[in-house]
Amino acid sequence: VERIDPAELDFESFARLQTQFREPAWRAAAAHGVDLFLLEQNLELTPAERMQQHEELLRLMGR
Amino acid sequence: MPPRKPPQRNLALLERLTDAGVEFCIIGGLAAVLHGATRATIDLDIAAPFTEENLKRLLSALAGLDARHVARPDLRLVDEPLDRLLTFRLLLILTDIGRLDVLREVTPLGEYPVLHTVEIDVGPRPCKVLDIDDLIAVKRSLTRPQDVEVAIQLEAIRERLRRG
Repeated sequence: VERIDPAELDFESFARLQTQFREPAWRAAAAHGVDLFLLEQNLELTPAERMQQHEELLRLMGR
Repeated sequence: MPPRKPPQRNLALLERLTDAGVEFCIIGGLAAVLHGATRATIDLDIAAPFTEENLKRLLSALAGLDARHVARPDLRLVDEPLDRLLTFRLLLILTDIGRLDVLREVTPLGEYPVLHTVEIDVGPRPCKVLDIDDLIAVKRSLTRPQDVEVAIQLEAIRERLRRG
């Protein structure tokens, strides 16, 4: 896994970091511009926590 | 200017539906969020059998929420004869706690009885949610960029789940 100095981070190096995800569908998602770190973080939540997060997002958006 | 609608409250809508005994499953963007996708959605989409009994339960769930047709906000749902509601292909409903879309059929899968669902604890109540394979089939059948992206995310999630 490439270790990067966060001060050097730009979108190109971020995209390169996402290549550490080796599964084919994850690589396809990365190629599509999906933030895999965010996706992985989301998978650590329970569905109820995802629902709560979604409700808070809607409240923040005022929708 | 029409009065500003309050924020969408999907949990409150789901509580009302389950408490009224409505037979339904969550589909669409919120189902994708519950499976782990990161793309946000706003409204609540469900699939449901359009039977007399179930539509009565739906009307009961929405009682007091000033439910109206999205396409015709001048028409209130409670004023519709049940016989007419039974003929609808879908109900797009505006309520005081948000938008609710009720589909009789989910393209390309079919009507409610053929859908594959999983029961998920979404908070105060467990709910049926379209399973990840069916949801991917739905999203893959659509061409909007946001649906394609959700399909790609769900495929990654499914791959991770299968790997364990």
